[in-house]
Amino acid sequence: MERSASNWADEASARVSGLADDVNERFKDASAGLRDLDEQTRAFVKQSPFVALAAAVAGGFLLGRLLSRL
Amino acid sequence: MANEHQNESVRAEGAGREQPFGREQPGREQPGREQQRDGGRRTSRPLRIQERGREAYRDAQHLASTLEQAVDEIGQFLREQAEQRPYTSLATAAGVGYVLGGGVPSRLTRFLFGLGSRLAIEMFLHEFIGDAARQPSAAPGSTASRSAS
Repeated sequence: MERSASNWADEASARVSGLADDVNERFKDASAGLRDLDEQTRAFVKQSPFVALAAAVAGGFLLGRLLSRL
Repeated sequence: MANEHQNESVRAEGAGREQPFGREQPGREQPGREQQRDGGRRTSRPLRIQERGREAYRDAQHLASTLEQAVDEIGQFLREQAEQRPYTSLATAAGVGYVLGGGVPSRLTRFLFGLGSRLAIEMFLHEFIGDAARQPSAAPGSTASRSAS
């Protein structure tokens, strides 16, 4: 009985540890992806600022158009 | 005879015509041409028109160069802002587009504005009241009274 409880605790601990590792890995991946996106956005805005600004205006315009119907 | 009559009519027309600067001298003018003193020299009407045209052209060129300069400056400013604060610039541009798209009168915007203003007021009051609450404790009288009690 005691042994089975100990086994269960070990198993739960291993699973929680695995889950934490998994979550940590995913956070790292997401963080790296966001960093890449940030770098790409900055580079694009630096390279062609007017296109980026025009795209932002167009995006905002479309969003406003869509949300004005709500 | 016919020529004389024509000259007479031209002269009469010239005398009756509106004279823009009061410089016309109908007695000295030649038939078919009006003359004017302009800065001490005589100029005929076609020359005056030509001069005005040149002035207008110069003014237009000046205006064009000024506009070009203004556009260049605005472009330079936008470029600098986009390079220094890319996300702020993009958000501002998106906000302008949102307003132009008519998103302001929507219920969602009203809700967000209401939420934002309430949060801002709350933060302001918190800070203000926090400062007001901190001030008496920092004052020497209050510390003295606290130590006495």
